[in-house]
Amino acid sequence: MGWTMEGSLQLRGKLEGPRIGIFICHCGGNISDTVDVNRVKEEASRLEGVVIAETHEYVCSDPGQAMIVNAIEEHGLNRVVIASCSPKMHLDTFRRTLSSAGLNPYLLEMANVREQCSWVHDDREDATSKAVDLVRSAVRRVRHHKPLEPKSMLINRDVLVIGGGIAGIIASIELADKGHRVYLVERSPSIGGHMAQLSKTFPTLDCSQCILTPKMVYVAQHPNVKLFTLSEVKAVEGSPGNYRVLIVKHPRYVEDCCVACGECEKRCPIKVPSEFEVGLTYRKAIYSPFKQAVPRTYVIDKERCLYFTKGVCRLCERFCKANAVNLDQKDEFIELDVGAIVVCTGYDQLDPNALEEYGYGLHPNIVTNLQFERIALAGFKRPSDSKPPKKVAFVLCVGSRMTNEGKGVKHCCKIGCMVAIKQAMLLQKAVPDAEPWIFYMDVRADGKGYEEFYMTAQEHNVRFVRGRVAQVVPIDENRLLIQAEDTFLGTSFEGVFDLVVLSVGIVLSRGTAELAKRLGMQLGADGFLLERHFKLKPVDSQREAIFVAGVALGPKDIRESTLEAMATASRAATFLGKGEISLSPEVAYIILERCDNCGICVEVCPTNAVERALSAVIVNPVACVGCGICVARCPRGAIELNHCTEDQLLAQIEGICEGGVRPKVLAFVERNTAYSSVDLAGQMRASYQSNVEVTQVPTAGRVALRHVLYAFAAGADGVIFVEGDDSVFTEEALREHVTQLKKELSRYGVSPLRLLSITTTIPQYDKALNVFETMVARLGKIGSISEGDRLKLRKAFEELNVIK
Amino acid sequence: MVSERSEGGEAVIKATEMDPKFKYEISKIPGAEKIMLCFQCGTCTADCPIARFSDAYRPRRILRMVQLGLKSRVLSSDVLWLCAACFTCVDRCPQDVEIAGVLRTLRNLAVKEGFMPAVYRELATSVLETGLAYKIPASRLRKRVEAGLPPLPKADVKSINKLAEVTGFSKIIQARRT
Repeated sequence: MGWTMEGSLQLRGKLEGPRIGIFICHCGGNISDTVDVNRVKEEASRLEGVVIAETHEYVCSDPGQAMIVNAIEEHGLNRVVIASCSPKMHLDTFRRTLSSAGLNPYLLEMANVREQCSWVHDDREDATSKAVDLVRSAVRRVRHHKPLEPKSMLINRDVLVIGGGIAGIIASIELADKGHRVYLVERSPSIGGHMAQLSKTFPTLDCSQCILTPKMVYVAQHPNVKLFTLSEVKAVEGSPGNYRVLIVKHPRYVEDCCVACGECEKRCPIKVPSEFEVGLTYRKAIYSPFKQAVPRTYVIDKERCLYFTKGVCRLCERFCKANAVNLDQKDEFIELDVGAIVVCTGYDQLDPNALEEYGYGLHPNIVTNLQFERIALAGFKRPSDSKPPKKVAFVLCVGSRMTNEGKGVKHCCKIGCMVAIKQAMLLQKAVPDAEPWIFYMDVRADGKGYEEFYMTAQEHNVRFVRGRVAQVVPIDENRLLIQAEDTFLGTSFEGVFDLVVLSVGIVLSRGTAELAKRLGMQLGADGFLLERHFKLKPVDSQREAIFVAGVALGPKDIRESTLEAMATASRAATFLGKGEISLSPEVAYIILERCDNCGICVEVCPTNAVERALSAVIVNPVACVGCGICVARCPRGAIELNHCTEDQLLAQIEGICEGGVRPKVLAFVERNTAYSSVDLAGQMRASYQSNVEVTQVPTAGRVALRHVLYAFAAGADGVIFVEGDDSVFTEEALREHVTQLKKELSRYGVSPLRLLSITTTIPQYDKALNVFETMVARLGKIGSISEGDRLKLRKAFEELNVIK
Repeated sequence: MVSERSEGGEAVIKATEMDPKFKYEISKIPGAEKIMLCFQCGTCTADCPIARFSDAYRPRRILRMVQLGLKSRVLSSDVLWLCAACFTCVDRCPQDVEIAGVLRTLRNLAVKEGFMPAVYRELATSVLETGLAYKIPASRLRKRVEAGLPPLPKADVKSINKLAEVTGFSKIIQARRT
C-alpha cells in the first residue's frame, strides 16, 4: 500500500511524538448551553500529548479555522482534535483546514459533542462529563493516526438518468446540452410521465402538453441522448465515477419502422382500461399510450394480447403495412458504464379505496383529481351520463395529512390545493353556470403567483368550505351527498353534487424503493428518497455521484421538479467535471510476514476485495470498502485497516470507557447509516441516557471478542452494536456475530445480557434509542462489573492478544 | 354555536384562564394520548349523529378547548355528557385521535372536579338500585301484561353493585349524593 506509511512529506518532520491541539466549539450555544466547554477544555489540556486546548464560538467559521491553522504553525501541532458537531457535518471542512496548514488531513479526529451529546442530554453535569469522555477517546485515538493519501481514479463522463417524466427529461436535456452522453431509461412505453396526462398547469393555465411535448421530442432527438423505453435498471455495481449498470429492455413487439398509422389498433379485438386515461376509457392490446407519445412506435401489451395469452389472433401482424410487428422480440440486457446517475422516478397516487367513507369505486361520479384532468381534456362530461357537471365538490387531503396507518400518509401532497383551484376555474370557464366547491383544511398557496391565483378563484365565485369531508354518499345514479362541518361557523354542512373529485395523496412510485436498494440510496421516514442534506445538498443522495430530482424526493409541482432537475444536472456536471475521483485510503492491507495464506479473509470479505495470491493474500484497494470484517476475523493479526487499526480502535475504546458516569454503556456504531441515524436522534432533539456513549466503527464486524473484552476491562458495563441495514455486514451476519460473542463472553464470566445489537435505517433512530434504554434498564438490575472482574478481563484480553 | 352557559365561562376567553399543562396531563391518560394531533378538520363533528341534531355539541370544539387549556370551561360544560359513544369519530379521524376516548377521559375528570349532571347521577343510581338505567313505571309493566308480552328479565343487582364497588363507581355516585 504505497500511500500509507511513506506519505510523510506533509508531516515536515513533526512525527517525533504526538503534539495535539484540541479545539472545542460552542456552536453558538448549541453545545455550550448544555456542555461546560471550559471544563472540557481544562480536562482536555491535561491529557497526554496535548499541547494546546482552545474553545471558539464557531470553530467551522473563518476565524475558527484560522485559529486552528495558526495553532498548527505556532505550536508545531502534528495532530488535531475537534470537539464539535458530527463528523457527518464537518469532517471534510476540517480535513481541508488541516491540508491548508500543511498537515495531512487524516491526522484529524472529531469528537461529536453536539448530535450525540448536547442535543440529546439536558443535565449540564452529565453532558459535560460525557463530552470529556468523548474528547479523551478522540485524543487517545488521534495519537495513533498516520498520514494517509487517497488514490485517484478517472471518472467516466456519461450519465444515466432513470425516469422519463418532466424531471428526467429536463435533467437529460441539461446534461446532454453540456456535452455529456446521457442514457435516459423509462419503464413505460413513452416518456412524458404524469405531466403528459395533465390539462393545464397552475397558476398560469399553460396547456401542459403544449409546453411538455416539445421537450419530449427534443430530448429523444438529441444526439447526446440514448433513450431506452420499456426498460428497467436491474443491477448496479462499481463506485462513484465508475458505475456499471445492467439494463433490461423489455420487448415492444413492434419495430421502429412503425409509422403509427393505427391500422393494427383498429383490428385488435382486445379492450383494456387505458392507464393513460386513468381507467376512464379503453385502449387496445396493441396501442400507443397517447397521441403525442415518444417514441411513436406502437407497443403490444403482452399480458392481454391474445397471441401471448392464447396463442391465436395475430391480426395486427397481418394488417401492418410497414411489417413492423415482430412477435419474436425478447428481453434485451444492456450494460452501461456511467460516472453519475440521476434518479427521477416520480410518484404514484395513493389508493383511495383505503378510505371507504369516500366511496371511490362505488359510483362513477366519484373520481380522482388525476381522472378529472382527463375529464377536463375530454370536454367536462361526468362519467355517469356524459352531461356537463354543474355542482362539483373538490375534496382535499384524501389520504394526505393522516396519521392512521394503512389509511393514508402523514405528509401534505403539496399540489392538491392548487390543482383543485385550477380545476375549479377550468370548470367555470367550460361550464358557464357551474358551481365548484372546495372542501379544505388549509389552502396552501405558497408558491410564486399561487396566492394571487387563489384570490382570483375566490373572486370568480369558487366556494371554499373550511372543513374536511367526512362522508360521500351516493343518492342516485348521478348525484352524491357530501357531509362536512363548516368549522368556521361550527355548523354541519350537507350538499348534493354532480361530481366529486378526490385530491388523492401521493407516494413514491412503485418500484423505486427496490431501485433505491440496488443503488445504495436511503428512504426517509415519509417514504420518499432521502437527500444528503436537507438544506445544503437537497438533490444529492446518500451515495456519492447519485442525484435525485422531482417527486421521488418528496411532493412538489412541475416548476420545483424542473428546478431540481436542473440542479441535479449541475451537481452531476460538477462531479463529472473533476475528471478524477479520489478513493478512500481507509482500506485493509496485509502484513505479509504474519500472513499464512489461510484464506479466512477471502471467505468473509463481502465485496470480494481480498484475493488469494501465491504466498499471501492481497487486497484490491478499489473494491475494498474498509468494513474491517477481515481484520476482526484474521487469526494471525495479519490484516490491518487504515484509519481503524488495532491501536486506534483499542485507544478509542479505552479513552471512552475510562472516566465518566457508571454504569457505562458503550455503543459501537457503524459509521454510515447507523451513525447518521444516531445523529438524527440529536437533530430531532430526542433524548437518551447520558451514560450511553457512542464510538464510531467501520462496521460491527470490525469489533472482535478481544475489543469487547477490552471495553469491559476498561470500564464499560454494557456493549451495544448498532448497524445500518444497508451495511455490508448484514443483519444476519451481525446476529451470528453477537450470538458467538455472547457464548464467548459467558466463558469469561461476563453475562450475555451485557451485549445487545440492532440493525436500523437512518429515520428509525428510535430503534437505537430503544436498545440504549433496554441496556440501561438491564444494567440498573445487574449492576456494574466489579474492579476485580475488570482486572481478570484485562488479563484475558492480554492473553488473547498475545496468542494472535 | 355552543352557548356561553354550556361552556361554563364568560364570552371572552382570558389568557389567565388557560392552563398550558392541561393538554399534556390529558394526553397521559389512556384513550386521550393523541389529543395534541387534532388539527380541527371537523371530520368528527360532521360524522357525529349527536352534532347533527345539536348545535351545542361540537366534538371539534371540545378538543380545541382542551388544546387551549380551558380546563374549567371544558370540565364544567354540559355538552361533555352528550357523546353517545358510537365511535364513528374514532373510525374516521384522519389523525387517529380517539375522540370518544377523550370525551370519556374528560367526563372522568369532570366528576373528580365535582361536575356531574343530575340526570347522569339519577341514571347511575337507578342502575345501582335496580340494575336498569330507567325506572320502568308500573303502568308500563301492566301494558306489557295486557299485550301478552313476557315479563322483563330481572337484572343481577348484586353483581352490578359488587362490580361498582370494586371499581369505585358506587363511591363516586354515593359521595356526590350527600
